Amino acid sequence: MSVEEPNSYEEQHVHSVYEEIAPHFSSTRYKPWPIIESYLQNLLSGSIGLDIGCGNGKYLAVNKEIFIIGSDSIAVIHHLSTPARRIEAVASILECLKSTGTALLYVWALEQESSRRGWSEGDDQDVMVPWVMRKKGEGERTFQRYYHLYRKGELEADVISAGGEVVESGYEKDNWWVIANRGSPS
Amino acid sequence: MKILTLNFLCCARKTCKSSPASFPLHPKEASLEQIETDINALFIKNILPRLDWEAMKTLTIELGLPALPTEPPSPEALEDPDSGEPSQTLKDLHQLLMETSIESGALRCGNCDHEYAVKEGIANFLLPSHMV
Repeated sequence: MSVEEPNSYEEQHVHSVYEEIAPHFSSTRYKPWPIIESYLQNLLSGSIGLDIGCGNGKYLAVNKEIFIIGSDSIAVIHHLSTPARRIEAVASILECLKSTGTALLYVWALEQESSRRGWSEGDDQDVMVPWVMRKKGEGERTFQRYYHLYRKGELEADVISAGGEVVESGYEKDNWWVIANRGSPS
Repeated sequence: MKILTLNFLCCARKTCKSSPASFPLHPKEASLEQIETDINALFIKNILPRLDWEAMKTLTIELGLPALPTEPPSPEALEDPDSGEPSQTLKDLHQLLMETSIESGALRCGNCDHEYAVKEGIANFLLPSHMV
């Protein structure tokens, strides 16, 4: 996909959308997803972690044996509009890890035929996803957010391109996920 | 923002990364709050080796909090030898790291002087593009 300058594209189709929908978005994000919950629960007591793209902080208190610092800037991997930017984001995440640390990456999947949106393998990977907000007295407004939908195997490839190693990977609830480490120097 | 968080934060600017002065960030006009939380002795014991003790000492002085001992406590000092209960040392560490929080103010980089505002306990680390 060719886009106009990625920064301004994302500013228009991701950042400013979330500015408007943030409170509504937050109210729909409260239940931890199973893979993420079990990843967090299996960490040793005294582990330190980062939740990058933490939203309303719903994962920060899942495991009271660990200390998670959350940061939220909307620039999460599947909202970045070019392959280079997505790989750079993965590399930045892996850079935060000790040699024994791991990162769990979780991105929207292209292959989600059974979901409400019903995308599948043959579809375009770069899409606009509607968010409908109903405000009292204002009726209904629809916002479009840019997403890059990841294809099977693509997140693993991005981890490798970023210099990391794949520890485990899978699919859950319309998302591809990868547990990665920072890779050994070659 | 719990004081423990400051053990892990440095200036976000690329040019400051290699400067030792960019860590720890220095609280400025910080208003603190105490929020009581349950002690998790094992957690404190396990994070103790990960604390930058010099940075923690600097922070307690800058925030006007009780001074920390010159050296970090040994693991044995965290438990009462007879009862195995959390020692006063552990309780003090817990209070400092987990119960003391910066509610508002700013965090200043000792290298470039840039200040990150803290509001309602949340720091804003977003930099204008010319500063990244």
